[in-house]
Amino acid sequence: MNNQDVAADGKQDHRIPLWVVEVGCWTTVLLAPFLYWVNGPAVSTDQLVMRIVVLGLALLGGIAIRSVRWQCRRSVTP
Amino acid sequence: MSNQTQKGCEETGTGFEPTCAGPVDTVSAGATAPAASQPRTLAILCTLLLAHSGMLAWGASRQSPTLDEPAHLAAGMTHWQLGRFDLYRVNPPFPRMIAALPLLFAGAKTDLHNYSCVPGIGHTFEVGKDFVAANGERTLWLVVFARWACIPFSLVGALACFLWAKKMFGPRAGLLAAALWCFSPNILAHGQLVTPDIAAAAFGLASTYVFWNWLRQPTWLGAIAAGLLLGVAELTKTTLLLFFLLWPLLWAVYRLSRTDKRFALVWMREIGMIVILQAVAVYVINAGYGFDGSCQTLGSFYFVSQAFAGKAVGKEAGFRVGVTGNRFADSWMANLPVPLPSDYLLGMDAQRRDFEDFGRPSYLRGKFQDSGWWYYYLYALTVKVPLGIWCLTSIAACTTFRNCLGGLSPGSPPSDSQIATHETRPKEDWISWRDHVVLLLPPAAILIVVSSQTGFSHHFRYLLPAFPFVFVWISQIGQSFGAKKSVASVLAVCAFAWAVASSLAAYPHSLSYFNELAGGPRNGHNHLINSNIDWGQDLWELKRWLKENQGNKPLRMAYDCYLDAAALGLKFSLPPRSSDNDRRAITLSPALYAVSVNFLKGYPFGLSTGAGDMAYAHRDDFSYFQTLKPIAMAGYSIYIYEIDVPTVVPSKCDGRSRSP
Repeated sequence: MNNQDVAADGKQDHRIPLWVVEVGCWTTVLLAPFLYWVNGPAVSTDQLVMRIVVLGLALLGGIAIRSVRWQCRRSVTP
Repeated sequence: MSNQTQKGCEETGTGFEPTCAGPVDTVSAGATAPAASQPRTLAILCTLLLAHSGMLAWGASRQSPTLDEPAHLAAGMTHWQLGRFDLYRVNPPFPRMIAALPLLFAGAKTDLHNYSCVPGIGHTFEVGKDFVAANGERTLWLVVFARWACIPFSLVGALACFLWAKKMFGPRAGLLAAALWCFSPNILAHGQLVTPDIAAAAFGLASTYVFWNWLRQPTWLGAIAAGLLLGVAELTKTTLLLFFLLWPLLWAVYRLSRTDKRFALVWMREIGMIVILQAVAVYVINAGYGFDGSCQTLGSFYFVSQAFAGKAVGKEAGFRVGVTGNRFADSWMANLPVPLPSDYLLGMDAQRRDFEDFGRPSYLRGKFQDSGWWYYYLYALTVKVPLGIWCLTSIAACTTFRNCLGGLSPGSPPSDSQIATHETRPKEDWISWRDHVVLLLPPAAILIVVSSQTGFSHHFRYLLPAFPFVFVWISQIGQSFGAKKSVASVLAVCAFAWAVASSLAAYPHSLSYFNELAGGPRNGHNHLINSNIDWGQDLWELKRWLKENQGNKPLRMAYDCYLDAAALGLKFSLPPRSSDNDRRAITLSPALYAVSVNFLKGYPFGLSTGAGDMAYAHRDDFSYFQTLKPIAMAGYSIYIYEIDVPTVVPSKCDGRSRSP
């Protein structure tokens, strides 16, 4: 745990930072073609739906968090 | 969490983060997290549990009954309706009694004409088959209700992972441990079935967590609580009996470095607590069986395994069915009362008998043999566990190793500056190497015990009780998911995302999951078969496919499950068997052919003929299908072939496995 994990009240901050979620989302998106190549196409409709949902959520999540962080950076930088 | 680094660790942000999981360096997160992050942590946890329950519930409704489930349900109903526990002795009754509860209200029928409690004559699966026949197509929904009733077992496991990891490493670690449980393909696979493996994993961890709390703060109430949970855990699977030996060993290890001058008094008191703990556990086991057959003398049992019966049964006697014995009958132990229910001990005997003479071959990497392999489970771990989890394990190992090299000896107190900058936490919350031992010794012991049983090697699920301990141990990495990135923390996040993505890419066919090293589920049969890929779970998937694609074509099916698929609504006949043709070339008539992957690889087992009776597939009876190319798959366990014109195929492939 590093020194920056301190909340405003001086206590330890145990929240999950946004970068963790963003890296997870982009990793999922990048791995999708590799996993498709290894596992092949879906063998059932349920599996296809799950894959689309997971990829979609990862993509949307990555884009949304990246946008939020860019906005924050722009508002902080003079 | 500590803001201090250990000696030898640098807070550069580029190397491994000092993770606070080393000897004495940290204060555990047993201290309260700030108020702002607690609701968030709970919200994330609830989301995880909700998602996990949803996946289990959906998956449970999409899969056909597996080989063991009807037998479990029929046995569960006899427990409730007849108060008898002798139908399915091999596993303790708790999980299937919970599973059978909804069936009591749903009007499920049982057909017990094949019920026999004669030792050595296993009619459990006959009664399961009769259960399916008696309920017909309604069996699907009965099995689904029973599976839904078992979902709380998995939630207990997720919660136990969260609580232990949170107490040891912090809230982030707690969430990571819970997420590892919720998205593990092996947990998802078996959490949606009526089998005892997930219950054993969940209660094995929960009971050891409570025991660990007792180790850190021994109280009489804590000992009783640990004993209660241990008793419940023992009512899920007999594998966990090893905890009766393991826990006292862990206590001894935990107390080794005590320097309390009154240690003799303290030790005596704690030994008394352990005795009470084990007595409570034994009481709970007996209560779970309604005290049926409790304290029966050892000499009065009729055993069927060589280990318990002696040479009267066994290889020299030809393992004849119905022959029993008792090696203790003529010894001083004959009059000793057994403090366990009689069916519990007979279940251990039956399980032992299975390992002595299973009667069916084991399969590994394209090879069959009559006995198992000591390295089977180690091999299965490399192909059935997501590679992302292996990466996380490596990172956790490096973290622990680095902390051990950090210069602080186990048990030494922190420096004044560390104390000054720590949050105020009591000494008993500090984590040391002994806590890691409590976490890692149980899974190691389970792996050793399971691997030592080489009578047969069929089921990777026997290792499931070891998983949650490793999840909690891995979760120490979660401490590094702070505001400041490091190479290790980024790698850990990527590995976690890989593990989750890989698992969800196979869902809801998680039972057939194989990792990328194995070539995915499509190539899993080149490594393992049986319940590791094909347990009869994809019959409904086949039915759905046939509804859209069959047309007027007849169906010929070799489905690896003794259940009567015709009773489940399918019209079919058997494909030709190599053994019926004297192993000559086989002519396939125009039809759709559906073949279970176990039969494809040559596994011998019973199967339904489609005419209401059963047949037997000998070795390689259907492996000639390996020379054909399938047009589709139902899940990953049933291959579908279309023959348009009469086709002659060699009855035997050349002995090497071919991927269809």
